[in-house]
Amino acid sequence: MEALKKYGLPVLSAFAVLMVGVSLLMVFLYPEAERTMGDVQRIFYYHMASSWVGAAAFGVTLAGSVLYLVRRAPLADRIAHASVEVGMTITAMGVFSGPFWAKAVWGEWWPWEDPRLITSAIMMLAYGAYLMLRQGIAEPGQRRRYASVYGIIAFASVIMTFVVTRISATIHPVLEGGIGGLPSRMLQTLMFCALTLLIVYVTLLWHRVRLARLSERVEMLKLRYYEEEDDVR
Amino acid sequence: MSGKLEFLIGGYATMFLLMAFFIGSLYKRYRDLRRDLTLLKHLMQDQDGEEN
Repeated sequence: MEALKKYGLPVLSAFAVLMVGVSLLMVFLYPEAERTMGDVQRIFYYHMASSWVGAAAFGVTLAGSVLYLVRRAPLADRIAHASVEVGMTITAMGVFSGPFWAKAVWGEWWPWEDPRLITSAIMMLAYGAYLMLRQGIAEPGQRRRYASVYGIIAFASVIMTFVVTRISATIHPVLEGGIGGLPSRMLQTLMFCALTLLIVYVTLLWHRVRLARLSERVEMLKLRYYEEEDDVR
Repeated sequence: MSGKLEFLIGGYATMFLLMAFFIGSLYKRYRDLRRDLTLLKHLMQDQDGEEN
């Protein structure tokens, strides 16, 4: 357990960097170029993987929020908060890489007629509001409770983003027959990129949770210092 | 590799810039907190010294 605490994060970080390197080599060299779109289609591997891992990150926030409300465990809230920050970064990778692909294929950076783009933007704003809500409440207990309730409600935006292409007309590419319909090299590359981003997510989450613990320690020491300062006066 | 390569490179560059920005912000927050912690420890030592 001690060794895991001491070496776990550095080893995982190094492994994540290695995985990113290998996955990029794979993206650019392993699968053949798609017939109609050409090489620009290679954006797809990280674009899709980031939307999966981003949604999983918000799912962790949902689970952490429920757990906090049920058990009042500060660690659950810490993980929920950290997962929003990391999840937003990973989701942003998907949202901001999409326009490059759209411009090359559809001739437009942001086609407003595509509902998935709108729901993705709403999802980003919903989780941005989660972070603002936390900033706006000073009392820690109240902040955790309100953020947990909001963290549960905000997950509706994730569900909406995933189902919107199935319930409304869209120009967003949908894989017919699911990912199983992909040629094997494309599928292997996609799965490897998803695994890579999952490892990157866990690594960043671990770093962010440690940072939250350090931040709480500093806050506690500050309070103690000012209380003692008042006693001296 | 051919055809609209600038969009492919632009897409991946944007993704990894976002990632680098987040990692940079984590590091900055870590550095600031370590500095605050060191400062607080010194201040508390001084406070204890004054009380004694």
